[in-house]
Amino acid sequence: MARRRDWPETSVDITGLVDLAFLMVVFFILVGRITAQDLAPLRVPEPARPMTEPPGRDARLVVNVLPASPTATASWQVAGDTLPAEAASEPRLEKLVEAALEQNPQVELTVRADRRARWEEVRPVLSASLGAASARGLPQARMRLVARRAWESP
Amino acid sequence: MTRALSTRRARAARRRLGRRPTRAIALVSVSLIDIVFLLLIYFLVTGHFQRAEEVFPLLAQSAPAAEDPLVLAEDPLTVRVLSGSRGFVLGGEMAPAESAAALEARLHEMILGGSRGVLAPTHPVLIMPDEDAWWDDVVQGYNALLQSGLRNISFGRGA
Repeated sequence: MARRRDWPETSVDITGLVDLAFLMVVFFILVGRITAQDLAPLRVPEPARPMTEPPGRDARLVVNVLPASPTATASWQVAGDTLPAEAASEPRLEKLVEAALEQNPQVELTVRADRRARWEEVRPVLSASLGAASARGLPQARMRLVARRAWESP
Repeated sequence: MTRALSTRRARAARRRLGRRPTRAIALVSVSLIDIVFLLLIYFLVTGHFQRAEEVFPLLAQSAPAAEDPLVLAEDPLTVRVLSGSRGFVLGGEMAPAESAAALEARLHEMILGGSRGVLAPTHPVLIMPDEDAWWDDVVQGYNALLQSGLRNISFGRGA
């Protein structure tokens, strides 16, 4: 009768690897949700040698201006709402900005518009900020226009 | 035969000691780990890094400031942003500056210290984009004004 050869029992401890994988999955899920809330997929302007500054950590209200496309009309995305970029939506936009200012008068309106948006689609956002500041009795409206630094060859 | 005997002996010994047989408990987590790795690969493949965005600060007056009756209000320098990326028209000039760089060059001449230096950096400037001007062109023009040293910039309703 042939005797079976006994192989030594081996094991690999993959606990650390699995822990790391779980952490990475949780990270991707959380970061994905946070960025999707404020960052609509659009291409912001990239001026040459921009006089921009880092966005900082001040309170902000982001208004995304999505341009018209063959399949959709231009729209504003703000605080989880999507409004069509038309005159009828301007009072609602102003109310949303005003509500943000009511919660925190230091809040800055961040205008994140696509480079192919038209002025007539962006102007109401600036007007809403001014109107909301005026309604709250603030002398100035603090805004920020989002741009991206173009790749520069060293 | 020998094995059955030893098992019987072991049972008898346990009975004598009054202990119940214990069973090893194991959690099979192989499929769970498979799913975690699949999720990880999915997020790694579908996610993408994007360059950080920066901002132009803009402070707009919501109410007109109390005017000093002894100070004459300055006429703002208007910069019209033409639709269709056709350039920028500075003040009453006829020929448009075809690019942001050309606009910046003209402004440099007009700022105090330039060859036609008449404007102080605090001189009010009003950007008047055409209704269907691209936002990209508006931002390019705004950046050119800042590059020229002008700081008192506001946006008009549009041409």
